[in-house]
Amino acid sequence: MSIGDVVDLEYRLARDQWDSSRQELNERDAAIAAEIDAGSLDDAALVMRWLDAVRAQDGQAIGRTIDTTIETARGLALGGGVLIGASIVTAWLSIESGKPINAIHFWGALVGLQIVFLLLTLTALMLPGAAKRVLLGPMRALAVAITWISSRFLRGHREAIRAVSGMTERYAKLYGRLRLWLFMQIVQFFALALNIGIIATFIALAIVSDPAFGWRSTLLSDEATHRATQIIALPWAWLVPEATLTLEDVEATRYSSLDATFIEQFRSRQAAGVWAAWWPFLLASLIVYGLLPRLVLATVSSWRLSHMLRAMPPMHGAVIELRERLRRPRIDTRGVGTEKTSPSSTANESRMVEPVHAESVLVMAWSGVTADEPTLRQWVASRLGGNVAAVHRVGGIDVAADRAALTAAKQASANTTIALVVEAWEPPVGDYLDFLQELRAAAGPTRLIAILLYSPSPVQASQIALWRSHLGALGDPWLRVLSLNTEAAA
Amino acid sequence: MSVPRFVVVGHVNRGKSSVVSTLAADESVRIASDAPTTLECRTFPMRVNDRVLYELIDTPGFERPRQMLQWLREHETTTGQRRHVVEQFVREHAGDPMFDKECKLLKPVLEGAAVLFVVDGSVPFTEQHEYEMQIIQWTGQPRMALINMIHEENYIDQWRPVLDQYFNLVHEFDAHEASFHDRIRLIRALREIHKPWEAALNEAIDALMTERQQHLHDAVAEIASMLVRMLTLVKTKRLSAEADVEPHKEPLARAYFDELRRMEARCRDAISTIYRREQFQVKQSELSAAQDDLFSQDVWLRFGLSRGKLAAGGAATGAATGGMIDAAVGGASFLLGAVVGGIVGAGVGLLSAMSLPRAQVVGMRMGGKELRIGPMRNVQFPWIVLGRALEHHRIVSGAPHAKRGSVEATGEARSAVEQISDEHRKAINHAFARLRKLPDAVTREEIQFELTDRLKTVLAEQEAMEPGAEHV
Repeated sequence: MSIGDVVDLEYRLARDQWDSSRQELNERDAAIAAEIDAGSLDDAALVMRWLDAVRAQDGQAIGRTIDTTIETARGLALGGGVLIGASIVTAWLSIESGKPINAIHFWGALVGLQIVFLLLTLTALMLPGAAKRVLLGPMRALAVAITWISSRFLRGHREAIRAVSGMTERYAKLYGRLRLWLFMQIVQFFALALNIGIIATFIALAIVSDPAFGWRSTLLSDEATHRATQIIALPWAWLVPEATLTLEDVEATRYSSLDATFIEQFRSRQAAGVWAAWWPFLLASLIVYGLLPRLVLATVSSWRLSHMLRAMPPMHGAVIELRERLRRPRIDTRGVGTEKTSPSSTANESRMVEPVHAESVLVMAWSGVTADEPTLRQWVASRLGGNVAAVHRVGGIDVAADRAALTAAKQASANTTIALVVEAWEPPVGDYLDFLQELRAAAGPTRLIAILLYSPSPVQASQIALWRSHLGALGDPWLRVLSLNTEAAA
Repeated sequence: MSVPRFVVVGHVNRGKSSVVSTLAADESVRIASDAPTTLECRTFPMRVNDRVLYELIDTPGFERPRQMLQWLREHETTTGQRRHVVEQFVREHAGDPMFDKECKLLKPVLEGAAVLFVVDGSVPFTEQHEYEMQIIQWTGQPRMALINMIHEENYIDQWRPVLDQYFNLVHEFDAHEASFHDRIRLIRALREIHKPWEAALNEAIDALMTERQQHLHDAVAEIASMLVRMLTLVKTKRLSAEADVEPHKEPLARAYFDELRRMEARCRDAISTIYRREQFQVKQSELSAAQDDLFSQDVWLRFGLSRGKLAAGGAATGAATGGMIDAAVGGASFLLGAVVGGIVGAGVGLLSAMSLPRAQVVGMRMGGKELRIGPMRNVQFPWIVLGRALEHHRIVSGAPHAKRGSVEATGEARSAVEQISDEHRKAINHAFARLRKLPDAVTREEIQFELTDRLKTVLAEQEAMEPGAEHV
């Protein structure tokens, strides 16, 4: 993972928490899990592939912007370091003052200060907790400044940058060290480049020019200065003895601005090359105390950074939740497609409720009506009035019974009402409707047909409404739908 | 091996779609008692990682079983040829609007699906149903009868002898009351009607159990998230140094409590979505106990922990603190510290349960002042919220998908938290106490995950004690 990937991951996890319901996340991640074959991936690869998929979906490239910014920062550190180093040395060595360059000043500024910074850095890295925070305080201030500047210049990503900044703080426990080593790497890149710029310019100017180094001091004796140079040169004296100073060199290059014969001495000694005695020593100092430690620190910080990024993402709660979502089996039991809706049929429904007063009734009981004939006669007579002429059983598997009933209906007198007794709990399916149509054809278009709903328990209003609704669609004005149980009739 | 397929057939309006809705946990299935609702066959594949383990097929009911059976009998040659006669019927009547539904529902049966024949045990058996059973029998496919109960009346004694004649298995399944365990039991029973499908159905059962755990996890994660957000909610308003704070107090307090209510509502919606019950209404009239306003006096008395448990919790904390003093003086205080600490703790626990946060003024570093309300320090509050959430969860997770509209709450919210064991209650109380100290975001997240795990265990234990769970 890159730093940008880490930022993208945290940004999206936080956004998921703010903007999406758990169900939305489940559905989105189930689809992604199927797409990336989640079962075959290890944790890191799983998260990375998920991140790629989410980035492809939302098209946001905050992480890429972060990576580009980091790359730019690294480039600026390298380029700026070289430029600044070269500028310092050029400025220092190019001043024609008519005096030699004070080697102690030169060494102190370009090597001594670096040693101090190096020691501070190493101390900060080794210190625990609070002390480290004090020493690394400027780093935090820099991070805040970068965030502020980024939000000003990357207007399109302002909210995202703020979010990332907030998250960085939020996840300081998790990503604090990552941030530390990133900052360390960029600083070491700068310091490395600075030393390269200094050394390259130092060598170049020595080739095309003849910078003269001397030293002066009120307190230091020749011997003390020589001893100091010997100690400084310990790391390379055994390997490059030419890059050390002899006591004679030290004595010869000492000068004083109060000395009246100084100019003469300077000119004659310069011709003798005495003043160039410091040059190899200073070059070796720059390499050993400037370049090499920065090279080591830059390498170590790069290695640490890449090592930490390889171990990303940390398995904190939100990442574990994500992993569980991606790894959980995708179970779905829901139906395919949507259902068609049935059209409403309420035409002519109002006519079906009119009361019936019959003179004579021909009863046809559907096969599910279990009441015996005397009971049926009694119920129908009490519900419709008049005499029950006959009771026919219809709706059975035997077609002959239906035929006999239809013939009776055809032959019935004009004042005979036909009562078709059906089970109230059954809906009026095709078998009923077909028989009803045959009955209408046999009985004639104007004969009153009463559909009487029968039930061992009181007929429910919803059952009556269902039959009226369905039969209303037939548009038959001589059709009535009533409850056979008078006490339950609506 | 072919995918097990089950065609749900039966008379019109006898609960076929209800059975499918509950078995498939799908609220989109249209159910109406007053009109035939299924016009076309609809497939409900049970998929695990896009692999289909079984399919349910909802069908329109038989429209003309009598006439169809008459046709079949007219064309019957020998008993062994009956299936061919049914195939012939479907072939010859394809495209005939009169037998459109019969053809549609028989097509998958003739393609090899098993039959789930649904009858309504709350209405009397009639000859019409026997026509349908005979037709199913003629297909020769594996079949099971399901007795669904739509109304209160019970005619199962009439149905049983007939169903036993026509079906390999007869199973009672009330689609409107069936629990998750009933659903699993039915799928287990399906294994018996066709042995080659046993492995696929076993896998499906395991997957459904896993899914149930996933839903449980997601639901308690929502509840834990809500509790964390509620307990750490702080609302502030910045004012100039000269500003009068009084006019700002009431609106700030209102915004604070409204936000708490919104959090609870969002959690409920999320839980309904997890269980795919978006259309299942838990109306105020039905769920009066759990849907009363969070901050009404009545709710504070009815939900949450009892006064005894609150006092006990406070006393335990106080006694522990007093005990430390006793230990520090080498027992010279004769346990007076623990006793006094316990009494004070119990009093604080009870008092704390009666107070709600008020808007208070705090100073600001940069000048001016800040009006602030929260966090909620009332020890009773999270228990009230938790009790209500558990009650809501119990209703939503327990109602089968065929159950529509709204449902009556039994007012067991208080008992939901009272039933939590001492060990779990202490751990949850500890998490609440940590949240009241407004920890950093990462710690909040840690507490949220701890709460999730704890509540998951609590609910899993409670679910395991439900009637019928032990047989699954």
